[in-house]
Amino acid sequence: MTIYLLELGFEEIPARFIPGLIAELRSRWMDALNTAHIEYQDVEVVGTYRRIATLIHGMADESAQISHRIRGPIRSVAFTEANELTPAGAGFLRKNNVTDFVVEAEGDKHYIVSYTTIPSRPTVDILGSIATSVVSGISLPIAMKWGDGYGPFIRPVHWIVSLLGDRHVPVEFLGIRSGAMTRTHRFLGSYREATITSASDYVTILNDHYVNVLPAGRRDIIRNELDLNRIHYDVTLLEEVVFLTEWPVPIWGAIDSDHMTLPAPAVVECIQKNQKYFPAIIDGKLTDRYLIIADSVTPANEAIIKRGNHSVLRARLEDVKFFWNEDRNNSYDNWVKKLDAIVYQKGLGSVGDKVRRMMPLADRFAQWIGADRVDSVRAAQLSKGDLVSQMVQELPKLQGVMGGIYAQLSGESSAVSSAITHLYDSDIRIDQPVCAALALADRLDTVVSCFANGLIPTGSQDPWGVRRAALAVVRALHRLHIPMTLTDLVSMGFDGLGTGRDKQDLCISFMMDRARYIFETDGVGSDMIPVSAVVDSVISPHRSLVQMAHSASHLQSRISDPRLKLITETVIRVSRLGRSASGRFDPSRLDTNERAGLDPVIQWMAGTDIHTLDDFHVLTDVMPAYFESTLIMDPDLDIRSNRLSFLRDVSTKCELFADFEKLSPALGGAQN
Amino acid sequence: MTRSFQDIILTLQTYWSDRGCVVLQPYDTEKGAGTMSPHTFLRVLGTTPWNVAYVEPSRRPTDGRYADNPNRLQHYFQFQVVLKPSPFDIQDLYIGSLESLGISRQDHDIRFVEDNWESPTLGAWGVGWEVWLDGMEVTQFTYFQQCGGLDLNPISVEVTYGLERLAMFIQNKTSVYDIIWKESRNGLVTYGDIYRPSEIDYCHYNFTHASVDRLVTQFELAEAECNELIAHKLVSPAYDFCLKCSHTFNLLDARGAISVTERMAYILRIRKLAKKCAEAYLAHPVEI
Repeated sequence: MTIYLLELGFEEIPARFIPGLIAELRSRWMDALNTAHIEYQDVEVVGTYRRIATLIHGMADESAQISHRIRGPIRSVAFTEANELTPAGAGFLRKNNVTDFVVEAEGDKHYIVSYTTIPSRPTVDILGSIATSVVSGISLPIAMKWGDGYGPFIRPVHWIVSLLGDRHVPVEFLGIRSGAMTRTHRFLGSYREATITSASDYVTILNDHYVNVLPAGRRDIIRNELDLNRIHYDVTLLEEVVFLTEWPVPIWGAIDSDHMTLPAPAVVECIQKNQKYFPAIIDGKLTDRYLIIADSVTPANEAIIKRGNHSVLRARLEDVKFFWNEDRNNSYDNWVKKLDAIVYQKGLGSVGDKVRRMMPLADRFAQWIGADRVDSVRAAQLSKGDLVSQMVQELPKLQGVMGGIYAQLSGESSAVSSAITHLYDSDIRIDQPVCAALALADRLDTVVSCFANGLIPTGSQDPWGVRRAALAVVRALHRLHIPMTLTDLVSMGFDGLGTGRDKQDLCISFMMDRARYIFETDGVGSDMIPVSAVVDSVISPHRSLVQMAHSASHLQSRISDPRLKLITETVIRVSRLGRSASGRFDPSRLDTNERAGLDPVIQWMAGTDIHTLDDFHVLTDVMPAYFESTLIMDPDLDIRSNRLSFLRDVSTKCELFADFEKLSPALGGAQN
Repeated sequence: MTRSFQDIILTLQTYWSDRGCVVLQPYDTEKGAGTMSPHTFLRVLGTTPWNVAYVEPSRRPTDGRYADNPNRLQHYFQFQVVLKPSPFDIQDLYIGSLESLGISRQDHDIRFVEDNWESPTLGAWGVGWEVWLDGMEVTQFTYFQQCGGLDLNPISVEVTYGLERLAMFIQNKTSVYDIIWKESRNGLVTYGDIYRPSEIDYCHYNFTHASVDRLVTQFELAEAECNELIAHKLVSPAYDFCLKCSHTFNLLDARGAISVTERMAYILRIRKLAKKCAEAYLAHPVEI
């Protein structure tokens, strides 16, 4: 049992790629070791921006010996009567590269059988070629070449350390030959290289030379500092900084007081995105401190580094101040006018056009929600204006947030400015009516625009975020209990657009899929079957989400009720027969007895909507007996046709509640 | 004694000259970056090795701030180094150049942070980093992969120092205009003394007074000239007119005269010229 170390050293690899690389290397190593039948206890992959190291713990000294039994043709095919090999028998041996064989019985037949053995081999002999194939197969999120055409890799590769215990296992990759020499921290310490004496000492030796090669170790150092100071931090930023450092040291900086008057979201964005510092957000409030995670700190240079970083941030915030002042000297209405010059999507006009489509939509949603209509339309009119502000052009992630701030400054109501602020929140704010009306209008227009323009999401391709937008719309309608059908919803969107009507049905079924997902995850029906029964019903596009949710949860609650099984069986029988109907059902053409028997059902069909399973009682009271006593497929074609049409109409009525065919699997199958 | 702006240039020139670079002078056509000089754009094409260093005045009309902003300029200086093929120890060479400027590796936090580069107008892209010196971006570091739409082999590495940033760092200034250019025979001469008046004038020109109609015409004239010169296989003058198109486009952009759709069309027109120049150069590359 030994540890194997493979360290790959390179010029600085982008932090965002390293977690993926680590995960991929680990799984490639495990696959390769399994294929080679080498046993191991654990594959650990660690690293920094400058190195990725695989540590295989508890590695067997040799691969396992593997035996295979290969069965060939039956004896009569493999051998002649004189018990000599036939061409088929010889071919079997040749194909499997074996000479020895036996004849073995399987049941009452005998076969030619051969046993092959892959002999055990010393791990050290095969490890080099395994390592080469593992690293050669790494997928490259970005590829480059260097020098005289070396590569491709993510960045130039500089060294490889390959040690099984203390023994060098030669590996060659992209022109680099392995050894036992690693590079230490680029700037810290007195030495630039160090010899790894043994794979088991790797982590310790690097640590002695200012490289904390364990991501978890670096993460702890940074997180402890943040937690100690009760700072709310961005997890993505933390992960990035973990891989931007080999020897992280926290240094605290302070924001100058004149910059604390700038809008907090802009300051935060600047600190985080541009400089990768952690702003000290404590209890939801930005304080004037920020945490720098530096990589080359010594007692002698700490003050210099702190001063340098401070002046950089100061310059950045000066820029923000410039934009802030410029923007405030501009009028919001003037920005809105400029939106006509910005293309929204090719073929769908400008952002100004989009805004003009959103305004009536916001009005309609406001009426459904009960939001203030004037505020909702005004919010829609202003919502995209900040796109042309200098601040948003410089810091695009602040779109919406800055719009809200500028709207408030130019005297808009708090409902309007808050709606703009939250326009791009991933979940639509249903607790604020104007906000919801605006966000619904924007996203609905995005979805129908993309459909009309052929930008329909497929697989992982969804550059405009149509799925996300559609999901947000359906979820908000559901949570707000808006009694609107998806057909009306989508149609309203296409009305404003004026083109792409041929995509409407596709768009409705796309929305319906979001409804399915929401019902399944939002506590309507934890079981997929009742949800499908409702969503897949042909009538669902013409039912409101409220009705559908009601039906689905009702079905869910009665899924083990024996009456549901009876109803389902009855409805399925009715609908399967009714499928072949072609004419109109005419009650007057039934004979008197039949008519009298069916009368409760005929009344029921003409009556009100079905709300619960209890509304089906009339059907289960009447129909089984009717089927018992009546030959639907009467030889008289007119009678037959009228009966079939009757059944079809009953079935149509039932589908207003659910597609019962979809329910049958939950009930252990329905009888025909 | 504080190292002056011109000392910084001289030091870098000496450093890279000592490491085998040809030291050239700025190229005399307006351009947005040192990369656009023919000493880079054309010479990275083909197989002939090339090691060069030069200062390049660079113009980005939209970045002007009427000298109100201490960090943004519409005219500034880059120090450009191109090494072809890229040497294996280029990062060390670069760090050595910082040390020649008195920026010791022991005293600072030097980081190579991902920053890939793409110039849609030149049909060029590369991968690399921006170098952070205690959090300040002082250098752009790029391994060129494509230029004029053509794959490169061997690969060149381009190291571009932002001279003002570097000088502000070295001289500990918070405004670019306070950079000491030179302690001259008759007193201190600052960057502001030399460039503030023209910076303000150019902002007025770029943002307000540049005639859109005449710029559009100039663009078309330069484009026609470039095409005709390529037909005559006169790569160097043809490329000058490609650069003129690029700068004229930047001016139109600063004037706010280009809509999003037009913008793409202009970029494509310039890229087409750049590609033709690259192809014409490759047909008869300069051998050394």
